[in-house]
Amino acid sequence: MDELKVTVAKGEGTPAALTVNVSGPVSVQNVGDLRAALLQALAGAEQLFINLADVTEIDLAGLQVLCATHRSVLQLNKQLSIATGDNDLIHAVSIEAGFQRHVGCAQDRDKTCFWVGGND
Amino acid sequence: MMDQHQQAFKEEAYELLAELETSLLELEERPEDEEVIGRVFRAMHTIKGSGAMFGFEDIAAFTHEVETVFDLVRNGKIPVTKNLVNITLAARDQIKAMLDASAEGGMVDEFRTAEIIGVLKGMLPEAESSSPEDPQPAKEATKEPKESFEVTYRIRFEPDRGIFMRGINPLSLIKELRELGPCRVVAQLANLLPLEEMDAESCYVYWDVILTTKQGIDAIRDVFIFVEDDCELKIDAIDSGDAFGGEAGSKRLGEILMERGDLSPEELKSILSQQKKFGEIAVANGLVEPEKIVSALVEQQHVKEVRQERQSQESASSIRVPAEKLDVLVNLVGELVTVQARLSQTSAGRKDAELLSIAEEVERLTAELRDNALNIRMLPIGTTFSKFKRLVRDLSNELGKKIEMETSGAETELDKTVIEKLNDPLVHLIRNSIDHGIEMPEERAAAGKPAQGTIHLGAVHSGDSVFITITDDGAGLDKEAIRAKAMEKGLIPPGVELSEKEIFAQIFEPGFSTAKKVSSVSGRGVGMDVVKRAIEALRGTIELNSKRGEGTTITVKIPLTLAIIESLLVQIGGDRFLLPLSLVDECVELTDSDIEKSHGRNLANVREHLVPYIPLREKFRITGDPPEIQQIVITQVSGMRVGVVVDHVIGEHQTVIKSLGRAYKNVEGISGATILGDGAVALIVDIPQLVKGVEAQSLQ
Repeated sequence: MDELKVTVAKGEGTPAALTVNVSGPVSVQNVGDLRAALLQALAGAEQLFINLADVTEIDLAGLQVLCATHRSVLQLNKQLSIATGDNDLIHAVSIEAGFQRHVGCAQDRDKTCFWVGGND
Repeated sequence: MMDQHQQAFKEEAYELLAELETSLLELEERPEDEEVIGRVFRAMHTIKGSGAMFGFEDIAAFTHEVETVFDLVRNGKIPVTKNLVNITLAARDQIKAMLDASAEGGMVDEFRTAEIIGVLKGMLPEAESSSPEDPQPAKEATKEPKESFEVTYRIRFEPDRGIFMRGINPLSLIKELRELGPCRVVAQLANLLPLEEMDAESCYVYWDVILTTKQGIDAIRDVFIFVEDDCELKIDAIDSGDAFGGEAGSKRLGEILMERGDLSPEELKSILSQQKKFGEIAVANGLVEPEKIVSALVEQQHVKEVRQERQSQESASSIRVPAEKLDVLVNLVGELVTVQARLSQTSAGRKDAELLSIAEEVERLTAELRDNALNIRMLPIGTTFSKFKRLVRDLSNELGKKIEMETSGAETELDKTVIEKLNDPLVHLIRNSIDHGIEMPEERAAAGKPAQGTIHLGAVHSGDSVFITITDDGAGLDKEAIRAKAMEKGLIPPGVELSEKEIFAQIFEPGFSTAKKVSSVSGRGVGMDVVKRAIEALRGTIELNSKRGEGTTITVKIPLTLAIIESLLVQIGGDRFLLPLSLVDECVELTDSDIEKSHGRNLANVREHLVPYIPLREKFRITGDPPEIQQIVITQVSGMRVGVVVDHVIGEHQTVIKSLGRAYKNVEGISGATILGDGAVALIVDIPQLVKGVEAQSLQ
């Protein structure tokens, strides 16, 4: 079994941007670490970029953290983008969990909700 | 005499046997596929059960033996082997023979029956084969669970925060729900806290699930059995499949929200008093979270779809009608089209606006009626495709060749009669491909091709025709051998150079066969000329393309229906004729000076190409002088452009074909007749036959 790895890198050009690379399995056992890393990154950046392309597993707790990060970003008036590359695992799990939707939550004023779109 | 039920059983049994054949061939390809094994078993089971019920004891008893074997296959006690498929196919043929015999009062080869049973029994493990027979079939059918009504449920599942810590994954519960039936899941995220405040190991999500299932509410409760005490669970039936209980129309968004407790009746009222989209107002006033609206909308959508599905299932039921009744219907429609043409013509002459508008209405309705009536007779061609699969399989085994058959376009629809009449020519063409086309595995390997040959059978719908192609990746045609043979038979006069296409066309000439030795498959003296004649009788055309060493493609073009065709109405003197529009390429003028230039050789120069033409006036010995400018209708016959000279081209015509009486059966160049709008009769010109006649004449 591989392990969850979270690395934070400075974005190119803009110093206020941080990229968080997540790889390995994200589950309720290690989601606390992910939350801590994201919190830290969020504190030090105006723009957050989360790369999930190398995530091998994700469960409901993992999806929750992503959603919570988005809410914090909205509250702090910062920016967030999430990329999954060719990895359709997260899309598949989010459909299974019923996260996919047509409109975001009440907080989602800028229409940046990650789950909006690919609804069935 | 057979009673009605026995007749119905036989029809059903023939269908089941066809299905059985397809399934068995599939099984050969995928011996592990339990779904296919199940299908074979069920087909046998139904034949046995209803056979016994309607007095076909012999069929029931025989099928029982096969079923016994497949019951064991189904339970994994006997593997699917090539032998098993072979003997089951043989058994399937025997059942068919029994059915045929019962219809015609013929005899069944009892010895063969006993032989097959012997082989089947040999396949059973020891203990099973010695067990006494139990010819008691029909009852088992009732064992299957009774299907109850579909009910749609709304489930709100709100797990407690600590559910993760107890080692339960809520997603697996959702997954179990999905297994119960069509299901929509909306996760509600309203309780979720921002990252700073949240506890990553708590569950903040709750779900609205809309599920349609036949399993009943208890099955849903069972899913949540281990979490029930620690979560909020609310299950309501919102739509039942019961036709009487269902409410008309779907629920409004507001109703759904209120039922769920997301909105109070007072709030609902205040929203309804405003004139805007309900969802927008509810959100704008902060009464409801947008997510909850989404979830409610999902429910609305789900119920709508489930109801639609149910409705389409109900309307998809069909009735069985004897083909003759349809023939009568189509004939009547044909008469109606003729009368309608007269009505249109008469009303156009009267200048009566009211009559004209009625005539137009009748025209529209007749066209619709015609299309629909013809459509009823349309069947997908796929039913014959599976027969050919069997043919390829059996023949290639016999010849020791390895051949795979691919099909495409099985859903293409053709007139029932056309499909039936196409069967023999296609069998012949496929046999030819297997016998002459695909080489022996060693030869193929030597030529650097895969040992297994492929025959592709495809059907495509285009315009008012269907194209059927048979492609093999075999040796291709030997142009020189064909030419030598044709010269020998005197089909090509000495000193004549022919194009490749024309040489290939020689194999469709009567009496032509290049097979060096006669095999049991083809080369029995019935040549490709019979195939061509059969295709032409369907007003179709056949074309062949081949590349030495790479393979051969045969394209058969068949009109969609036999009853009504699009044609070009032309006039010669006082008579009118019809040329099938599917053959017509273009029309050009023919002046007296053109005729002079060709010095009586009947050749016209069309854009620097010489096109031979047949003057119909001469051919049909119509008296009188032609007009100064005549028309050449250029047609495409067997890959060649041939013109037909007429006085005037009147225009397109929807032609209802009436066959000529027996007395006119042998008239050359005429394939039928029709009645025109003014009541006059016009003959339909059989152009391919006409061309052939002229060719034969000029060779003499």
